[in-house]
Amino acid sequence: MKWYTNSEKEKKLKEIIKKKFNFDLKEKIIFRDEQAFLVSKEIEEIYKKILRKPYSLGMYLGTFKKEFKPSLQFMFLLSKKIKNKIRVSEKNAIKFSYSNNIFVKQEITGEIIILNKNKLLIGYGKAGKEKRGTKIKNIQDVGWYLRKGG
Amino acid sequence: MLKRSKYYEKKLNELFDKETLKKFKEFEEKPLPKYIRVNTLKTSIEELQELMKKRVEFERIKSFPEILRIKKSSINIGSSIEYLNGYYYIQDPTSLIAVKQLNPKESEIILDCCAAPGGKTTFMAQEMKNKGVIIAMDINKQKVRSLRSNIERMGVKNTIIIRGDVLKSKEYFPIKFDKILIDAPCTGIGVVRKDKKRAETLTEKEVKYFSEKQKKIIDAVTPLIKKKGVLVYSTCSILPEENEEQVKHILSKGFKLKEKKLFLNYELNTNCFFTAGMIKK
Ligand SMILES: C[S@@+](CC[C@H](N)C(=O)[O-])C[C@H]1O[C@@H](n2cnc3c(N)ncnc32)[C@H](O)[C@@H]1O
Repeated sequence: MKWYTNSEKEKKLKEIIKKKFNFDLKEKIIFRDEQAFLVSKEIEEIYKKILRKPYSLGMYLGTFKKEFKPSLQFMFLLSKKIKNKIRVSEKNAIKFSYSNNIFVKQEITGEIIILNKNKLLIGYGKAGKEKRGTKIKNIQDVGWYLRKGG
Repeated sequence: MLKRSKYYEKKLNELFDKETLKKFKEFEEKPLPKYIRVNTLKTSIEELQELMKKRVEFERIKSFPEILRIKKSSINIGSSIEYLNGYYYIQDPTSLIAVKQLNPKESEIILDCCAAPGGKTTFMAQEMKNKGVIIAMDINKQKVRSLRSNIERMGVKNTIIIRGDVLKSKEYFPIKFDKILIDAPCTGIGVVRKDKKRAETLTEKEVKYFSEKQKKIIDAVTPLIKKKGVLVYSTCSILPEENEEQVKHILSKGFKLKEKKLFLNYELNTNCFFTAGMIKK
């Protein structure tokens, strides 16, 4: 596991996030392998001083290799600010939160944030047209906290 | 009826007068109410109550504006969508007192040296409005995973998580902290209401083991606090070996006591909790 900063990679990731979500990130990004973390000046300062490698720090943005996959924490933030999101029925919300794909009536395509009827985050998926309607393929969902978070 | 080890029984008799003991034992047998702490980084107590009103009946608790007691619930509080969105943390109100004693501020650098699974770290972040820096450390691999998971779920972004041994703090951190929280590993004898077996298995040897460990932790982190900085020491034990004796040890290292409190199970109808706030001279 390696921690590093890389201004080119950082710039590229910020551009992708801007393009994909129309969302501006101002603070610095620090990487650990494929994981990207957004850090405040204060965090960065302490990170530079301490002699033990962190396990994680700041806000975990997600993984970035060729593509960027947002973390649940970042998705939560995005869900309050961006347009590409969809509200689904309670039944679909539950289904999706158990890592399943769902079908919806709305005609949409592309990556999208899934909310329940109270606008709470359920997850993130990829929508595409199918015979039965629009299928949203599960990429990540909040049930992760129970399945893997511990 | 609850089974207690001989040693635990003896300790209880030494510690409490007859009347206190009776009440204490009565509450050890009682089911433990569930409390949640509302995450004001994401929501408000009113919004959360409104969101969950069809599924959960809440009650507010005097002097704890962030806490709701679960009166009745048709769902599992630990897996609701609101929980998964980080709108609350399941937590006893007494735990909050340790953080209140620490009184973390937005501009400060704080060490939470026994942090997992993050109940107090995430409340500190809330009090600090997600600003400043908290170094949240724990030695246990699995627990560090849940610490990270809780920190992310609660939307906390002012922490540096370290998997490491608090006894090596001096090697890790060539800096001084404004404040340090030692939420020490302990016998856990104060949480009998959650873990009935605990009362049956407590031994003198164990108490010795933990009190020595606690002393070592204190020795390791007290040099890292700034002058006039705050140290909070807390446990979920009721035993003087793990509490008052450790406070005495801290005071002998040039600290002055601000406030200490042992919450017994019947006072707020919670687990037992000890917490002491001290200032470095
Ligand atoms: C009482 S629990 C902390 C609870 C936590 N503060 C909270 O509020 O959620 C004590 C923690 O100390 C950790 N611990 C024990 N020995 C340690 C050591 N040498 N260094 C760091 N952490 C240690 C344990 O893994 C355990 O998670």
